[in-house]
Amino acid sequence: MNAYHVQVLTFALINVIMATSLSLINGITGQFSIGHAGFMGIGAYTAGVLTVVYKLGFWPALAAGSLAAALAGLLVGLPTLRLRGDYLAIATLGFGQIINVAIINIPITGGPRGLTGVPAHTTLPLALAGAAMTYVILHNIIHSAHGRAMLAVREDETAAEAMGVDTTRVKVTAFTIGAGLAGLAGGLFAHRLMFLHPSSFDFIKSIDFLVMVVIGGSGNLAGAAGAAVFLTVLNELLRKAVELRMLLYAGLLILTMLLRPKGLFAGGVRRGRA
Amino acid sequence: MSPLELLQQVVNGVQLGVIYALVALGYTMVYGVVRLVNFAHGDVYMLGAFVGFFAATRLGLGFLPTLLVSMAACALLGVVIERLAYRPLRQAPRIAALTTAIGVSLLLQNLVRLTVGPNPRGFPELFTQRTLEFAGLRVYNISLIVLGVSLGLMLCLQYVVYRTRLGIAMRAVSLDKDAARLMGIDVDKVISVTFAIGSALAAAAGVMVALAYTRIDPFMGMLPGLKAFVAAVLGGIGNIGGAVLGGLLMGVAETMVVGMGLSTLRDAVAFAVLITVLLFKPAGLLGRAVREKV
Amino acid sequence: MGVLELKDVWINFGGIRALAGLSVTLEAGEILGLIGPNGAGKTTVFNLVTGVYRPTQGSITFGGHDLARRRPCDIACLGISRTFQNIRLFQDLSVLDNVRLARHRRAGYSLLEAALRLPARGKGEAKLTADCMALLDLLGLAANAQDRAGSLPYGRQRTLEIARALATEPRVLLLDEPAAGMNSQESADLVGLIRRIHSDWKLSIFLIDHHMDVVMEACGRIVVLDYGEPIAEGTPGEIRANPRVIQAYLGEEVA
Repeated sequence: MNAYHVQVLTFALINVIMATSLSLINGITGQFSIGHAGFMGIGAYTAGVLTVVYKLGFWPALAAGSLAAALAGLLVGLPTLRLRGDYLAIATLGFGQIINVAIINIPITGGPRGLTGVPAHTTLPLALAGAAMTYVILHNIIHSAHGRAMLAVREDETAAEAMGVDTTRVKVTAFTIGAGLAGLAGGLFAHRLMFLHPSSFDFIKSIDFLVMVVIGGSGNLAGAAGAAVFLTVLNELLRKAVELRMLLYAGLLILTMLLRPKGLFAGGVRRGRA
Repeated sequence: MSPLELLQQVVNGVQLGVIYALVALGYTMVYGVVRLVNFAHGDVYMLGAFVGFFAATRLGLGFLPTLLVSMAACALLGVVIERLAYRPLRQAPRIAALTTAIGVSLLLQNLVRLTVGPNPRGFPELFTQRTLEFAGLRVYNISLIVLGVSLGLMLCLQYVVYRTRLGIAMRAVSLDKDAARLMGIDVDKVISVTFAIGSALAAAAGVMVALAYTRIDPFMGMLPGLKAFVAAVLGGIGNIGGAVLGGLLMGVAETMVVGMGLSTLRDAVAFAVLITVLLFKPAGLLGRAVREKV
Repeated sequence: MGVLELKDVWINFGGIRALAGLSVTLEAGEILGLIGPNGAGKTTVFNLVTGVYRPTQGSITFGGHDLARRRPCDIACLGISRTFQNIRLFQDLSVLDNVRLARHRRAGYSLLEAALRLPARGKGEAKLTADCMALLDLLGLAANAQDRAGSLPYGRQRTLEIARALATEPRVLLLDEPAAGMNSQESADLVGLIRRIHSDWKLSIFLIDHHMDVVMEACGRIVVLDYGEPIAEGTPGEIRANPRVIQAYLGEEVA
């Protein structure tokens, strides 16, 4: 395995964190969020600025990035999670764009020129540890009373409320956790790429993660993880053929919805297990 | 800002606003009949500009033929998209349809990019540009044409929706699809026609923007599409008058922001409006709140 | 003093007056029936009690608590549970998970404990599962515990909805057309089930249904609605003979 392979695999593992955290929001809790890359951006820039400008240590910066993203998730989630379906999706899109605009306009982030000189801290083992930890934590949450509450919100919010589930709280919780994990991924990303640019966290990036969740199977954690690795590798192979890659994504999205709405690697239907 | 400058800004804003209104109409009508945010609508606008580009350059057509060809082609495209990508998902959860719509949007953008190349093209001048002075205001002749054509199209739409049987059918379907079907209305046909009309209007907007600003590229539909959607939401999604009102307000607001020297925030205006409306009055200025039956 | 009290409740939807001046009290431990022709406003009453709708006028109290401005989840936690006219199970979840969800507030472990899989989680889940299996067993659904809720036959789905509602340990149970789609044998079984849970769980039950045999058999008292207005109240025998009730259901007699 040469340095190039290591690089790709590291990014694949970071994308696993992104896809699985999005799966918690979209697939498990049924809240259609299409601004997920924005939270990654908050995590990345917070951690990056802290290490580059304020010379903070890697671990505190990483934690701060994750917390900042979680806080953003909370702030975005509280007002918008009252909305449903289409409106929620558009609102998350809007917030994702606002975050982008904000990043470009805050001088400390280097704006459109980007942030350079982020120290390289993210090794392959670290990315693997991050992805594994994320996966285990999400798996545990899903297979618990709290996870069931999220699934119930997805299945039928009205019935869930009638059974005593505070649906707003459940949605906001899922959103916050998802955002925080995306922030973690962002911090890891920043310290691997060593350079940050707002375009890395735009709507197109959010679509990347959406595609991963969709083809992996909504609510299927393993599927999302697998799809993340698969698509990262595919991205690399199609690096030169940008249009082809996007056409492929488009085709995957459309065909999956038309033919196998539960995901290409279906099995996303949860059956009860003790 | 002097009153005259303010008025100038308003005039510019209205010109931008009618474009947003034309695109917003498509969003709002489609949402009205199928409760779907047609994510790909902004890209139909983009395609309108490109079809117009080919009509004007390869076929050497003048303004009116270019406009009509573009509108017809995009109307057809709208019908095809609905038939292939949205109709099969009518009973599926809204999220599935929205995901597909995103896919269609990506598809259109990248097909164009693949065939035409990512670089922007210059739309030919189908009119000689002239500036007119009106009581201290400067108006480009192209602006008058944009305003004129847009108003004309909106009046036609008004006529169709409120004075024809098709219009009654459209309104019936948007109020209660099942009842409409029971009344003998061919719901599928109505939905197809709605998509056709909406797409035609977007195409017209695309052609006129191309004429006015000359630069076209495969991604020109994204931001205006989003802003037009915000306009539709602002006016009350599903409400035709609301789309026009919303479009005008968005156009004026954006122009004012630029006029005040805050041009970096021009795009943020749309998102700020969106968030505000969704949080405080999701039904929009002229819309009705919809109740879920428990 | 009744358990659940509606006093002079009105609700309008736009121009439509769905309920006009309804006052009814559910006494502790009784099974109260709510009947009326289609569109009379029966489910609206349940939706008002459970917080899905807000009354335009009037008050709704439960054991002293004012329900009018509370969220449905809070009302459920106060001890009111319900089933739905159009079954609202969590279709893609298992039968067991549907019931376990209803006890989500009694799970006994926090999100953090769940995420880190600490011992409290294991203990909580074990107890939760045992309690829920016991409940399913009582209602004859234990064998289906791992089946997808949506795959159950219609009648058993209705039973599952009742099981789910019971799992919240309510004091008041609102049953919205539990006998819908049932044949006469199933209806008879349902009456037996209602009586059983009424005595075993010491519940106060509010029942809506169109199956007159079920309503007359199970209920001690019946309230009749027509076009949003209460038109009669009394024992099954009194209601059966009430001319206004007959007229509401069957229309005017042609002379």
